Amino acid sequence: MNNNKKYRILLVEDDPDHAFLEKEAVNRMERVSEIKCVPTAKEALDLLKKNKFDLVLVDFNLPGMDGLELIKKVNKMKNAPATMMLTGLGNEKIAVEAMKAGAYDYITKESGYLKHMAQAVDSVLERHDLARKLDDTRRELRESATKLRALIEYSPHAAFMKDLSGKYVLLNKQASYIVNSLGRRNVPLEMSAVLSENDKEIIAKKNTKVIRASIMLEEQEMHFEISKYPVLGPGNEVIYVCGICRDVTEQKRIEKLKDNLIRDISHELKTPIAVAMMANDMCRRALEENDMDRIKKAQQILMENLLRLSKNVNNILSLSKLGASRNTEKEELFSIKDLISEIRKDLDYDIVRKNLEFRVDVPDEADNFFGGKRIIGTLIYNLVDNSVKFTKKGYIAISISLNDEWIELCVKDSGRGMPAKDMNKVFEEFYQIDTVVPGTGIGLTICKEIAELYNGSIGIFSEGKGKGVSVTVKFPRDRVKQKGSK
Amino acid sequence: MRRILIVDDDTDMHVIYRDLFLGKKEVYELAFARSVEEAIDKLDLTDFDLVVLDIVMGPLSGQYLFLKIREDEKFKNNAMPIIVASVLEDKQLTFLKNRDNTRIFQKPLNKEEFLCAIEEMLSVQ
Repeated sequence: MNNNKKYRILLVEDDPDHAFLEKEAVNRMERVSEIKCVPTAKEALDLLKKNKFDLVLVDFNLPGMDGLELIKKVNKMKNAPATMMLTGLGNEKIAVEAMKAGAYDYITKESGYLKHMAQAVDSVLERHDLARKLDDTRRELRESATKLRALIEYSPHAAFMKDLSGKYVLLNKQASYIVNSLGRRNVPLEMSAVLSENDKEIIAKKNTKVIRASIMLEEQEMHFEISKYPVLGPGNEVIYVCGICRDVTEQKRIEKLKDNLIRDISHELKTPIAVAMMANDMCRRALEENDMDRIKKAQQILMENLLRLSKNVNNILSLSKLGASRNTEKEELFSIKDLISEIRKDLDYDIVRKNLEFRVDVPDEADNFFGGKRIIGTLIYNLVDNSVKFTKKGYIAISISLNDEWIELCVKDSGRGMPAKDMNKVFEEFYQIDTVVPGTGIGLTICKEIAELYNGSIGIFSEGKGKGVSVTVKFPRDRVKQKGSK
Repeated sequence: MRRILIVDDDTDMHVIYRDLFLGKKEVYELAFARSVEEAIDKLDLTDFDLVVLDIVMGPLSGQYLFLKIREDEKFKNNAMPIIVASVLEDKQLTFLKNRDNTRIFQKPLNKEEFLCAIEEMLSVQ
């Protein structure tokens, strides 16, 4: 019991003599800081509305509402104080009723009852305190259980707990979806084995395990990381095995994208360096023989490749400025037509020099694009730049079309093209090899990265040598917004 | 006279290769292809003793030609000596599984080592 706590007591007694004596008796108690006395139940209720009391001592015989009725009313209050009944001799029946209504105790007014009353009040205060503490603890427990349940239930990860026989004793929403779908079309039985992996070892050695698994779910390869740990009982023995299963598919995808980007970029840097170094060797050999013709040739190759290197470095820097991820650029609504006009200006020199026709076909309903303006600008710039580079005469045509699923951007030219016969193989081969993008410089590499960042794809088609090339980039349809909407 | 087909999409490299072989005009006859498709056409028409092959080319990669030479039963000489010459590191070339009669070089090429390898490969033939 809290030693320093002082208690406030309300006495409801209509007999002034009794009231005086009872007040005196209670007031002598050390732990009582204040005792108030009122003669009627109504006044008692009024007082209780405004003030906090720890105990209400109620005489049964009161004018108006009797003591029993008052006790009933008090016990219905929120944070009700403890109640005690004072009854005359031979009124034990009423005392029992009072106890049923929630009173802690009763005192019969017989000779010497004042002395006995102090003891009883003492014990009631103590019991009431304990009861309140128990209530508080219960409420806290209930609250923390609710919080924990919400936390686990709405976690994006699947959380589960199993007993030693392997039976699930707790499953959150995500986990129960997986467990309930086991063996059906969408979740193979394999997943069950993954969820049970290492259980025996965890139970025997009480250690933590991280399991990584790749599983085909709903025709898509998914990657999971499952952290498992033992739950120990009071005797430090394992009672449950707990697991949290994270879907790391997206993380893997981004990691792979990053690896590919680094690999492609390093290739685009190494190539001109290697050629320049070999041209330099050639220059050195030619110098020894004083062969001016070869020196000139080598020097030209050297220069061209240094320029190529410098262009690639600038391209990479611009990509890193744009951010390797679209998350770093603010997404906004912009007009693709306007963007293409800006790009046209940048490439004006070569387009005019080669007298190329520049066609743009962007339907109004496809003009409003939502995304990173600079990164999409880089993509279109690189595609058009490539076309301009490989087209000596004729046209460059940029068009956009919409279907249910995709918005398709197509850049077509009348340039040197590529043989059509192996076109299908190109892409099969390309994906199987999984080495480097067969590109024309880093421009196309960047385009591929950008398309993939937007969950889109890129394809290159040509009807044959000398028949031009068309590059098509697909983005999910929801990238295009209606004018005036967002 | 030994015939060598050099497959590289970079025409600057053609000039450099020609320069590497400058003192060997009596020994080697060089032919060039700018793409894998062109190389396949040339291999159909002419018998070569050795192929120098870049890997990263578009649209068909050097890997495609490598596998065609080694594994395509219709190809006349599956054991054709091949020198893979690219900027790729060896660990990026793990797809070249059957490496009999194959040498791997990383660009930039060292003239002496490169010519020495060709000599060795062709005299073994």
